[in-house]
Amino acid sequence: MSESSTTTAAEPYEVVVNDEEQYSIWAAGRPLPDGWHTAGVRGTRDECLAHIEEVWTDMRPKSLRLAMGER
Amino acid sequence: MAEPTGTAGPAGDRDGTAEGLREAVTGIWCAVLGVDHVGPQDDFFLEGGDSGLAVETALSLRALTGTELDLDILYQYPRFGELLAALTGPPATATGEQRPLTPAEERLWIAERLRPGSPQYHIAALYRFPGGIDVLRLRAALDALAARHGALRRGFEAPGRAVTAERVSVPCRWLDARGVPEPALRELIDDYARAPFDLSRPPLLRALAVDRGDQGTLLLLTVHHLVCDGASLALLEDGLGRLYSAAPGPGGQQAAPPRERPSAAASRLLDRDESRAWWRRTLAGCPRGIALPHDLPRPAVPDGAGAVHTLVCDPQLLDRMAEMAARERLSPYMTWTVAYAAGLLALTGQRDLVAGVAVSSRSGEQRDEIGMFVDPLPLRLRLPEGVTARDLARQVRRGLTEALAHQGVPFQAIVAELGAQGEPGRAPLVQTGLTYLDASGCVLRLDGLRARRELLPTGTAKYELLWSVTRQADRTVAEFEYLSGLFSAERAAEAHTVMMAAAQAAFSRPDEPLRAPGPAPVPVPGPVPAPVSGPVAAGGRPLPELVRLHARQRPDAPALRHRDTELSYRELDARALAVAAGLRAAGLGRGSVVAVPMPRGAGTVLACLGIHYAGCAYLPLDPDQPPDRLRTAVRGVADAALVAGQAPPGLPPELPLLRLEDMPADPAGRAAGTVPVPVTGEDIAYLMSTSGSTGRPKTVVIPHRGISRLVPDAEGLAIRADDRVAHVCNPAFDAATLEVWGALGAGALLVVGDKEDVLSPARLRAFLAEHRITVLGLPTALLNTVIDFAPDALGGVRLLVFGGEKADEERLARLLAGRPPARVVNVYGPTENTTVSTLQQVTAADLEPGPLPIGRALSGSTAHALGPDGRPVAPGEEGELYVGGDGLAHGYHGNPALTAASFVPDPFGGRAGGRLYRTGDRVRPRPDGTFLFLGRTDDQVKVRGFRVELGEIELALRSLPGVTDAVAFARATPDGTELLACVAGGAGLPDAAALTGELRGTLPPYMVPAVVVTDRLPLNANGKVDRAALLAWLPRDLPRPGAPGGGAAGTDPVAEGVTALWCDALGVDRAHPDDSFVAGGGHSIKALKLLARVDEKFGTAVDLADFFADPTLGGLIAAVRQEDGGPAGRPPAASG
Repeated sequence: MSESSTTTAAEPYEVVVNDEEQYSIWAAGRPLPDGWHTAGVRGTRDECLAHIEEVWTDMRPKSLRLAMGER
Repeated sequence: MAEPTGTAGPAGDRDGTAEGLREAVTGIWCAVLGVDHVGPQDDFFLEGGDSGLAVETALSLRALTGTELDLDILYQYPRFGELLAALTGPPATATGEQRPLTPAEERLWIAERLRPGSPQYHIAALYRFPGGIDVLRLRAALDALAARHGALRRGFEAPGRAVTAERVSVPCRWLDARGVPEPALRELIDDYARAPFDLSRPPLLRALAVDRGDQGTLLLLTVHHLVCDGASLALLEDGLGRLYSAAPGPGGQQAAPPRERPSAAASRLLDRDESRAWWRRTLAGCPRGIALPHDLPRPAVPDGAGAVHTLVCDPQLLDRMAEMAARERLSPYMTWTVAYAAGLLALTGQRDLVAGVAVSSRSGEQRDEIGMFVDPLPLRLRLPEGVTARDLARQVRRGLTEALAHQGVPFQAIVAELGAQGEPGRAPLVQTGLTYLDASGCVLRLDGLRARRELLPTGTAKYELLWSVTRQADRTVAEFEYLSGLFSAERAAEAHTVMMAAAQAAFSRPDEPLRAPGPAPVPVPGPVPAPVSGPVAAGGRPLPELVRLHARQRPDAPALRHRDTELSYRELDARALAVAAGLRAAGLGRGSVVAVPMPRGAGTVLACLGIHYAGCAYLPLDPDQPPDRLRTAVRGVADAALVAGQAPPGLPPELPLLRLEDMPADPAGRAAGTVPVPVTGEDIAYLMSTSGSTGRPKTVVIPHRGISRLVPDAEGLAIRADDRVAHVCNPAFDAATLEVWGALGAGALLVVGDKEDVLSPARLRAFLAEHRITVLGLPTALLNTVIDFAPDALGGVRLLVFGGEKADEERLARLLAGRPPARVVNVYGPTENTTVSTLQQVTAADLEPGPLPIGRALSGSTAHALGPDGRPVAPGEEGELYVGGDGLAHGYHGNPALTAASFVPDPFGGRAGGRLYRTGDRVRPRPDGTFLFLGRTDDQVKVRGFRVELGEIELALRSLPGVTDAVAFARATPDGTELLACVAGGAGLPDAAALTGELRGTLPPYMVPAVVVTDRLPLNANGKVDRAALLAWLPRDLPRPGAPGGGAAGTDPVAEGVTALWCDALGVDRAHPDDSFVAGGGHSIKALKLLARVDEKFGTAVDLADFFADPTLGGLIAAVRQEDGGPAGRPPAASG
């Protein structure tokens, strides 16, 4: 997997998050698959990823955190 | 034998005291025999010596010479002159003629060096005469015969010279065996027939006459195949009979022995390019090994011990063969070749095979010459479905005729021509042979007495399987000579019967298709029970629960085997519980990460299961990687490390270190209650470190559901409770998931293979056979070598899974045509989707139309080929492969941005909020829903199955002092992918050797590239480094990283000298210490030559078996040093 793909860097992206509170990025404007929501951040690919780096602090899926008795 | 001379030899330092020795021997001789003088022609036994006195004399001579000379030396050298000569040194070779070896001789010479002193190539002919024979006349006749035939005066010296002595005396021992019981006598005769010849001391012929009183006389002639062959034996019998009876030979008594013909030069003259090309064409793509249905595990290096199973041929078969021979104008040898081919087909099911046929290289003028004039030739036989005996007869007739026309190319040259790599323990190219001898008229006449020849077995085998057919006066006998390390006597008898029955069927119905057995001609020994009833319903249950279930339901079933250790499920469970309790005691609990820097082994399996029982996740690490890299992989990821024995260097000092030894099983089960910790499918099972282009490894986080969807019962990969699963993959890579959890999840037996077990195809084969492995996973590259060198290794495997690199269709076709596993599955998948994403069962039909696809998504997984717009591409178009489903990782540990970029929303799945992993692999979907693998979208490459990011290499180079820029490349070579790097820097830039040395400290060996230093890197129009221009500029043949000849190695004469010999042996320009002799095209014959040259240069004898235990250049250098007393040992000897 490429970690530094710049071919689509200029296109607008948005930060998305699912019910497991897992983050990803999505090309802005395309219909978002079920179970995903926008997180309200839009920008270049790199900007979106930088934001995710900031906010996604516990990478365990939400169901696992719950199962482990945490919130 | 010549009078003693001053020739250097074992006793050469006694030159100055030769006169003293003569006096001392004279003294002993006279004292023992009670005589007062002795002459060179005096015979010990005629002078009154008997067996008691002979032993007494021999003991005195032992005391005199201080050597362990043979106690029957007086029998070997009954005449005083001979005895003295024998004690003084080898025969006067300086006066003899010398010449290089003929190819036929060379082959046997090398075989002899491979197993010194083996009777493998002794020809032992026994004759039973009804009356007494005159031993004096026999002795004279033998000597006269030797005088006539150069071969009988010929010896062989290292490193490969034939030396013909002027005169020799043939040892002729006489035994009084009246009243000796037959079994004891037989043993004595066998001993005599099998006693080694000293090849440097001609003659390589000796006689034993045994007086049986009223029962007549036995005469045993033992001659080495180096100087004799089947036709020569008849000449020898004829000549001996005539000389004994003082009858003139054909052409009368010859005044002088005929001069030696330069036959070596003559045979090499025929070595024409045209013939070479013909052999190359004929054998192109042929299988390198035959899949024989042996029942014993193949030893790494067979000892050559053999046995014979004999069948008398049915006269009806002989009649039918004669009929076919007449109609198709076949020679008897051709006819037997047809029978042989039919037999091999029945035995192996192999429809493309190469068998050794023996052809005579005797020229017209050599008609009456005794010598070695037989060459083996590889005969390729293709036996397509429906082939009949008559088709085969015509094929054999043409094949043999053509082969004869091209026999000027010696066997060794044909092997070299093919680049035919051998494997240790298996002869290159040809492992089976056929000989046919018409011995119906072969008798030895001594005056009025007449005796038929009886060839004695030598307790060895020349091939893995040799079919020797001999026509005798009243019957025809087929002997099945086999390596007793491969076949039990029962299996050999069974196999021989199958062969003979197939031959019979072929000739009785010559126009019906020959019959081949099914894919597995002979079942793997041992019963294969039906699947256990009431199978464990895996149903996505986390692995630890499944193992516990097996421990309750089948506590005594074997779970884990490593070397001598075997644990039942109950024991495994108890030990893992103890580990879990130890982890809990250390404060680790659900969600903790425990590093396991341990090599493959039972301890590692136990550790991982114990970690699971504690609710923790394991991080497997290769303990042999550079310490810095190990530290980077652990730091910030693991909460503790669990080791067995010594901890590897590189673990961060602050990391809590736990030892497996401190966690013995607790019989009281005190751990029960706190462990095992229940987990869900989302709990983390393991983390795996992979190459990352940022210079930091990417740590993939895999939940339990990823494993549960793969093992033990994924469609196409299901493992059963009665399976024996090999664990041969590196536990730090995720192929091990399928092995370890596949076996333990299914309640099967997991058998751990050591590094040595997978070192070579032969060892792997032995491992598979020893443990009767039924499930095996191999990286594609290793499978390819197994198919090349040990194609019969996999016949007993039920499920073979391979992947990691592009499949080789041609090799797979060969595998399937031979003795394939019952099921062969090609798997594809990145670590991020738990080992397997797609799979393709491989059948012959799949290989027909072209490249083998990587198949369809595994059950519980999805796979899509998407275009740049995120939409699926049409069949036939190219797209990037995205995979999803239960196998998906949570992401990359501590790397949210990378995880978000790589795991994206899944618009196709049925599950809300699902994700897909972008594999970075380019694929082409096919109309049938399978995918073809095309390549990468980025610069990740696979080197020997390892996933490598070129960026990580570049980063490692740029971080070195003096380096300003670096570019890494992967380049395809015939041997696989090679890594290269161009480095630019300023004045302080170290040289290439120093740079690779530095890299070895930070990168694992498979990631270290060949480095080229340049002053600047070319840029393209976009201002980026112009990779294409660089790649074009790079030399084709770069020094391999760390190759001797650069840097420090240049000052090491041992390394330099051994490397030079190595390169010479393999015909390469340079070599790396990691290079394998076998992978470089070396086979045992080449290895012997190399070791002989090493011996010459360094005076160091490296054992062939030791060499093959570690057949690398580095290993050989180390072996030479060890023998030499270390690098500072004595300097290399001057030549000679």
